[in-house]
Amino acid sequence: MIDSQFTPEARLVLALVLALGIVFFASRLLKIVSLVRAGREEDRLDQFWTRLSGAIKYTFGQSEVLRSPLAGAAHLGFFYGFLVISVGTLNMIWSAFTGRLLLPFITQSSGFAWLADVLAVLVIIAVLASLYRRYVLHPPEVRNTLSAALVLATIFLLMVSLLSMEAAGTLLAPASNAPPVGALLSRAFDGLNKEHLVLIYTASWWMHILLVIGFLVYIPHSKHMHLIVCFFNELLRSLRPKGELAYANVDSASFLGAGRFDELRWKQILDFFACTECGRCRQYCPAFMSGSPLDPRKLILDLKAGLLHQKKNGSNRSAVPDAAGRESIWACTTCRACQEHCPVFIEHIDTVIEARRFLLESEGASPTLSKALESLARQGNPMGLPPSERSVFLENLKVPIVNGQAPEVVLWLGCAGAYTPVAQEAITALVKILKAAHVDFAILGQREKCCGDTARRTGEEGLFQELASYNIEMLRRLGVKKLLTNCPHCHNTFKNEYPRFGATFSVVHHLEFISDLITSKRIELSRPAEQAMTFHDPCYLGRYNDLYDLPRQILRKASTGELMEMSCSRERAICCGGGGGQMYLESTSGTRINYMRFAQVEELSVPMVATACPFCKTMMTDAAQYNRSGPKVRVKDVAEVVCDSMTPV
Amino acid sequence: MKIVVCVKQVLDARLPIEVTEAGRVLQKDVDPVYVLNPSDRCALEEAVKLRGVLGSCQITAMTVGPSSAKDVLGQCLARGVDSVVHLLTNDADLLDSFVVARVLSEAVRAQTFDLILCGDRSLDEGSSEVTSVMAELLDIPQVTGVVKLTVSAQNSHVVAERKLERGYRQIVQTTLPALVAVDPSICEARYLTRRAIRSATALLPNKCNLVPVPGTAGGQDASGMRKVESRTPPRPRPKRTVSADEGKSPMDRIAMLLGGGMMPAKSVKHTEAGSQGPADEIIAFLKEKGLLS
Repeated sequence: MIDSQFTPEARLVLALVLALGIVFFASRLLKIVSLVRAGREEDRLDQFWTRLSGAIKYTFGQSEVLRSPLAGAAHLGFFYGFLVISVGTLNMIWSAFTGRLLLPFITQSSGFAWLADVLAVLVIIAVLASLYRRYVLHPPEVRNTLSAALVLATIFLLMVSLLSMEAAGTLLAPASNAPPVGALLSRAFDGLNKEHLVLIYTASWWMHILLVIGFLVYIPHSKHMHLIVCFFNELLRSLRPKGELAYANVDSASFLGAGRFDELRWKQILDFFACTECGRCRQYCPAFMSGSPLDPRKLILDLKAGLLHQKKNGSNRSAVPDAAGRESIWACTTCRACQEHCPVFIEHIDTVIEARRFLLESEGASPTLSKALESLARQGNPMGLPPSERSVFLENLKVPIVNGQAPEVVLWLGCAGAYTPVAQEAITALVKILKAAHVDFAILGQREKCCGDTARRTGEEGLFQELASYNIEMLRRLGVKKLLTNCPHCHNTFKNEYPRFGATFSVVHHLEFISDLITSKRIELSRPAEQAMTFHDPCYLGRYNDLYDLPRQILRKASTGELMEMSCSRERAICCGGGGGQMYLESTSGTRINYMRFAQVEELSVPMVATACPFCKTMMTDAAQYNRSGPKVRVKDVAEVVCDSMTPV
Repeated sequence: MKIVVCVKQVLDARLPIEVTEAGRVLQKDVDPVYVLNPSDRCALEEAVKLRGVLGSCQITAMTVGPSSAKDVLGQCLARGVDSVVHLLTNDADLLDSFVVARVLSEAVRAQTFDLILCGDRSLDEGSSEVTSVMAELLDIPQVTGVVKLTVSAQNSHVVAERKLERGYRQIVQTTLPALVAVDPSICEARYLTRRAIRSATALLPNKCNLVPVPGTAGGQDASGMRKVESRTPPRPRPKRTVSADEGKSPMDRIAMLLGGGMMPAKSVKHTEAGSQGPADEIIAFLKEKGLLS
C-alpha cells in the first residue's frame, strides 16, 4: 500500500532474503521428493476423478480433521486463514517489487480486506484455543514439543503483524469501508504522528514477510510438511477395499517385504511426511493402550527419522525394522483403529506388514508363530489338527457335506469354527438356525483349508497365496456360488482379498444372512432373551467392512433386555487383541488387550456380551474366565443369541 | 571342510497313520502329505551354523527316495546347502533302513567328506537304524543323540555332547571323518517362508544331481529284506480337542490351577549343563509357589 518505503535497497534486501528462503526450502523439498521416488513402484493414479474429488472434499471440507471437534474447529480457522491470508502475503511481495497489486480484482476489493481481517482474528482465537488444548487440557495424545510451540507463536505473530499493518494503514490511508478489526485497533494508535505510523507499518510488514519466509524454510523440516503433502496423500490414497493388503509377487528370488527404505513402496515413504503428529492413531491403538511399545505415531516418525538419517552409502539391510522396532512391528493386531482415525490417510498397516514380510524372510518367526505357520502349510490349519476332524463336531446334527455340485449356500466353518470349542458353539447355533429356516446348505468338510488371513497378516504372503489358490480352485470345481461365513476374518479375506486371485463367488456374513431370515420370517424369534447385554464390535466386521448396525438390529429383536453401548464402540471400538496373528505371537509386554477390553464390558454390569467373531469370542471368554471376583458374564455369538430366542423346532 | 547331510522325506505323522497288510505306512483317507523329517531339518540347520562358525564349508544334502522327494531337496537349498544329490528310486519300492544306508554309503563314499550329519530318527518309521548302518558300512566313528557339536580348530576332530536319559549328558570326542546323528534339540531350525522354498525349488533342475539307484526294482530290493509278520492296531485314544492349557508344561498347569486363570507367557530358560543352576532355580520356584516348604 505504501510504495515509498520500497527503495531499490529495500527491494534488493527483500529479493535476497526471498531467494535464500526459496533455495533452502526447495533444496530440502527436492531431497524429500527424491527419497519418495526411490521407493518401489505403485500405481496410485487410477480412477483419477474419484481421487481428485475426494482430495478436494477432504482438503476443503476438513471432514477428517473435524472428527475431533475442538482441534478440528481450530484447524478450520488455521486452514482457511492460511489460504486467504497467503493471497495477501503474495500480494505484499508482488507489490513490493512491481508497485502494483497482484490480482487486483481480489486484493483491491474491500471484501477481501474484510475477509483477511476477520480471519486474522479467527486465527488468533484458533491459536489461543490450541494453546488451551495443548497446555491446559493436555490430552495424552498431544505432543507438546518446542517445534509446536514455536510454530503457534509464529502464527500468532504473523496475525499480530498483519493486524498492526491494518491498523497503521487505516490511519495512513483512510478508506470509507475500512476492515472492522483494523479500524478498531487503529484507535490504539491514535495520536501517533505520521513517521511513527510509517515505522509501525514498515516494521510490521518486514516482521510478517520474514516470518513467512522463515516458516517456508521450516516447513519441510517439521510436521508442517503436511501443508504440502496432505493434499497429495488424499489424492493418492488407497482405493483398494479397506481389508485388502498390498499384493506382493511371491515368485521372486529376493526377500519379500521392506528391509531397506527403498524397498518400501513410494506411497509408504510419502506417508511419513504427511504425519501431523496429531496422535489420533495412538489414541485408539489397543497395543499402545495395553502398554506395549507399539505407538503408531512413533512408528511413522521413527521411520521418517531413520529414512532421513540414513548414511549416503550405508546399506543397512534391515533399516526399516531397525527404525520401527521389532517388538512394535510384531505387536500390531491390524485392528485399523490408527488408519480409521488418521486425518491424512497414512497407511500404517501396510507398512507394518511389509516389515513383517521382511523379518519373516530374514530373521524367521518366533517359536509359536513358526509352529502355527508350519501347521498351516502342512495341515491347512494353524492348530495342526487333522483335516479329517474339521466337521466331526457337527456329526450329530447331520449336516450334509458337499458332494459333486454345491448347493445354493455353502457354509464355511473356518479354522476356529472347526476346531475351537467356543467357536464351534457359534457354528452349531448357526447350523440350527439354517436348518430351522430350511435353507439348502452344505459344508465342505475336510476340503476346507485356512482362508490364509493369519498367514497374510504375519507376513507369510507366499503361504497365503498358496492357500488362496487352493481354496479358489476347490470352490470353483465344486461350483460354489455363495459362501456363508461366520468369521469376519474369513469374510474379509474372501470378499476383499480373494477376488484379486480369481475368486468369483459371493460372500455373505452370517449376520447378513440371519437378518434376511428374520425379516423374511423364515425364522421367528418368539422367545427373546430378557437380559441386558452389550455388543463388542469385531474389528474385521466394523472398521474393515462397515457392519455396525446389523448386529445391533438383530440383538434388539433377539432380546427384550436393554442393548447397552460400551464407552468405546463402533469406529472407536477397542480390538480384542486376537487379530493380526496375535493368537500365535507371544507378546510379553503390558497387560493383555483382551482384559483391558473386558474391563469395559464390566463397567456396564451386564450379564452378557455378544460378539460376531470367533477370535473376539475366544479372547473375551478368556478374559471373562480370568476375572473370578466379578459377577459371571456370558460371552456369546449373535448366532447363539438368535438360536436361543428362536421358536423351538 | 566337506559336510554331507542325509535327509529323508517322511509322511507327516500329525495326520492319522495306518500300516497296511504289506507293511506300508500310509496316512488314513488322504493323499500322502510329505514333510522334511524334523530331525534332518535340524541337521541341515546345524550344518549351516557350522559353516557360519568355521568360515568355508562345502555342504551337500542327499536323499534316497522316489521323485516326490525332490520337495525336501528344495527346502535343503532354501536352508543354504551348496548342492543336493537325489538318489532316485522307483515309486513302488519298499525301502528299508539297510537298503537306504547302503545306497547312501555308496554315494557318500564316491565323494570325499569330513563329516556326515543326519537326524537321529525319522518321523514315520523311527527306527534310528540308517545312521548306524551307514557308519559301519563306511567304517567311520558315529555319535548319536547329539545336542551340541563343536569342530576343532584344525578340522581334525569333533566334540559332541550326547543326550542320555533323565537329563544326563555325555561328552564325546572323535576324529573326523565321522557320522553325527543329531537330536532335534540341537538347534532351532529357522522358519523358511514358502517364497524362499519355492524359489530354491525352482533352482533344483540346475543344482540337483539326480542319480537313479540301480537294482532296487529287482535283485537286492527291499521287499526281500523285510517281511511283515503281524500287525496289531493301536490302543483307542480319546479325541483330541484344543484346551486352554494345551502346550503348557506341568509346572505352568499347576500354577494355573492355583492361580485361577491364565499364566503370562514365560520364556524358556537355558542353563549351562553340569552347573547347579537349573536345580536351584526349580527348588526356588517350588518354594515360592508353596509346593515345597
